[in-house]
Amino acid sequence: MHHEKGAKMVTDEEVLLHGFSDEDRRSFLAMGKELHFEADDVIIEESVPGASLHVILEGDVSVWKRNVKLATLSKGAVVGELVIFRQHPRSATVRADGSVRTLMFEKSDIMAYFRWRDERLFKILVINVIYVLSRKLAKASERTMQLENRLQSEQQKGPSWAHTSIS
Amino acid sequence: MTEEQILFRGFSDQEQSDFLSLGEEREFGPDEALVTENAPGSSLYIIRSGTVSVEKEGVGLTTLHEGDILGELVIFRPSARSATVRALSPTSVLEFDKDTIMTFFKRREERLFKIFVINVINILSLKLDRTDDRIVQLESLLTRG
Repeated sequence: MHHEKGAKMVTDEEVLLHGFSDEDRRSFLAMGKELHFEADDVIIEESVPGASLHVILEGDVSVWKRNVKLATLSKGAVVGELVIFRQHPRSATVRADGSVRTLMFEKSDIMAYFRWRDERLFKILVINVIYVLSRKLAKASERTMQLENRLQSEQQKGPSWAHTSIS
Repeated sequence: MTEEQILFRGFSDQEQSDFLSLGEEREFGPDEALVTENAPGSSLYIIRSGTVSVEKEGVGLTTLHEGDILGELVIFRPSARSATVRALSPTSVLEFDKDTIMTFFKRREERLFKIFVINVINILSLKLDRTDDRIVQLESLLTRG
């Protein structure tokens, strides 16, 4: 999967902390623990309950569900944002494609962070999570559309063996 | 659990029936569009009966049925519709205008709105899970082909 070069894309991280003051953003990011992963290391495991959120700082990660690759994510992507609201089994596996650095936030630290601040800030975070989720949903829908198109055109072509040329 | 049940999780029976009474019943015939891609829209819909298809650029993405929710994000952002939704069979829906929803919550304890927001997050995550499942299914079909 290729990443868009040139055009500056808004990252999940920017969406997640949108509306935070510089100070709030700095102190939030300071709670994160930096982790290193090597190729094929599992960052988040499908079906296993998790209590942390990761922001990708460097490198690419792949998202897998039942051994099918759903997406590739890179710097600025956020995974596991739902832990803020509930403890539940992870919906997908996230694996490092190569050397990866992430900033990991424990749910308990996130809750403690907001407990000591104006409730307004937590409300902003909640809305931001809705935006992060709706961006992910839009991307997944886009992917579904591409795959449906491919499936349709392959079905029109007939089975692939029919096109094997014999030279 | 249907999306409608998730939307009202934590509401009392009274709160849920008050909310539902604000909906406008609407009927759509086969092929009729409930919402159109890129057109402005500010309503949330609960499907009461029938089946609708969600289409983007003419490609069917998914179908929704009784108890499914459509437009759950309207209260969070003024936005153009991201897809066209078309009735596949005679379909009956309850339509809730954004302003009506906001007025409903303004008159109540803030607690209820907070619950509603969390419920919307859970609906979004359910829709994301279902979309990912469809991607898994399509990728498998394409690999097999």
